[in-house]
Amino acid sequence: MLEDDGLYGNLTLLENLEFYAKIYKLDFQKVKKITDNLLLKFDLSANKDNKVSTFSHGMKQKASFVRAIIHDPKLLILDEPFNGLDPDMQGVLRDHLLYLLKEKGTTIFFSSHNLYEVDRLCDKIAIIKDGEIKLEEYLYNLKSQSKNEDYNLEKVYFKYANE
Amino acid sequence: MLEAIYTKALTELFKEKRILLVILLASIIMLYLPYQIFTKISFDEAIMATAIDFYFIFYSVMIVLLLAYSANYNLFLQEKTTKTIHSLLATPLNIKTIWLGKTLAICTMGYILSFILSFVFLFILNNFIVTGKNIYPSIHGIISLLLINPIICIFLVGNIGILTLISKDEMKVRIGFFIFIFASLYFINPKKVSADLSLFPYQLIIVLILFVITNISLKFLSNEKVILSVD
Repeated sequence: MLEDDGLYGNLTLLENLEFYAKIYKLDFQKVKKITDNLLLKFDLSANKDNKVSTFSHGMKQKASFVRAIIHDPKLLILDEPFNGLDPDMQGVLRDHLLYLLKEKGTTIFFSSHNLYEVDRLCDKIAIIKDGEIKLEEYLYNLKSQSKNEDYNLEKVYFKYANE
Repeated sequence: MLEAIYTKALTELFKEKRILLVILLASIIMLYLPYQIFTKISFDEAIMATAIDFYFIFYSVMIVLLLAYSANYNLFLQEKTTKTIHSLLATPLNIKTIWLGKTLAICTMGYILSFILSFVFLFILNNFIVTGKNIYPSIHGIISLLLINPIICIFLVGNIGILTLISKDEMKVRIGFFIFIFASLYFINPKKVSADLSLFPYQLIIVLILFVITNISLKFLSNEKVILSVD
């Protein structure tokens, strides 16, 4: 899933999903059930027959996420998935990512400026500044290293990013 | 996967009513020339049949090229400007499948349109303009229209698509397009070739040349090159 939504504005959301289902050689009728649940979960059901060009940034972001997981991937690479989402939807997305991690065993690799979500979701993080990896570490290691102080990912970020 | 790209491209073409309307108008205007010939100049039947052969061979290619020019933005360039090409190339699809699907869609649509208009024109010509003469394309003309012309169209439209996909500059695409138009005008309507069996070797040479050009162009078409050409 890229920061640009990757959806065709002149097609409806359902046509977009149908197109990507065909690319992955999925039977759209079979995945329709799953898609319908996802659209309901991400509050897109009412807009599934509308052209994507009429969507707001947040709706496009959600639609793009549904498109990215339509083929049930083992590895999911997300670029700023929480951008443009209201707090409610950030929660829904976070819960769904946790479901994919824990129930489906999906490996998720995502970039974000939202340290709160990073802290909630990740096992391992990398801090990148000016194209250079400043830190690559498991979160539990960072937490155990700072056991005497109050653990705060923001502090960790500033410590390594400004090194 | 080719089918997915092909179907989507056809759907997009059908949805673009403006493109279809412009092509339809241009196609009707292009039929005005043979109408003038058959109504204003008195030809014998053999000359008329030859003229019809040449005109329809030329006409079908021109309609497809005209559609390629109009649909170029929607089908090829827009993938880059909206960056949907990034998402497409993150799927198991490769750029050559995308290119082929879209090229085939343009050719199918253009060919169907030119066929419908040609048959309507022939019907009007034989029933209302030159009644009693039965002016139809010869068997050689029909074979050209059904077998050789589609291949020529696929190569011509395909090369325009490749140029659009790998080029950063839209102007280059337009210049390339006009070169193809003039080249096709020259090759498809040669002065000393008549619409009989002697036309086939000539057309086969054109197909062979275009095959070589397309193969060379395809070597430049790679996922990386297309991604790098996106701003």
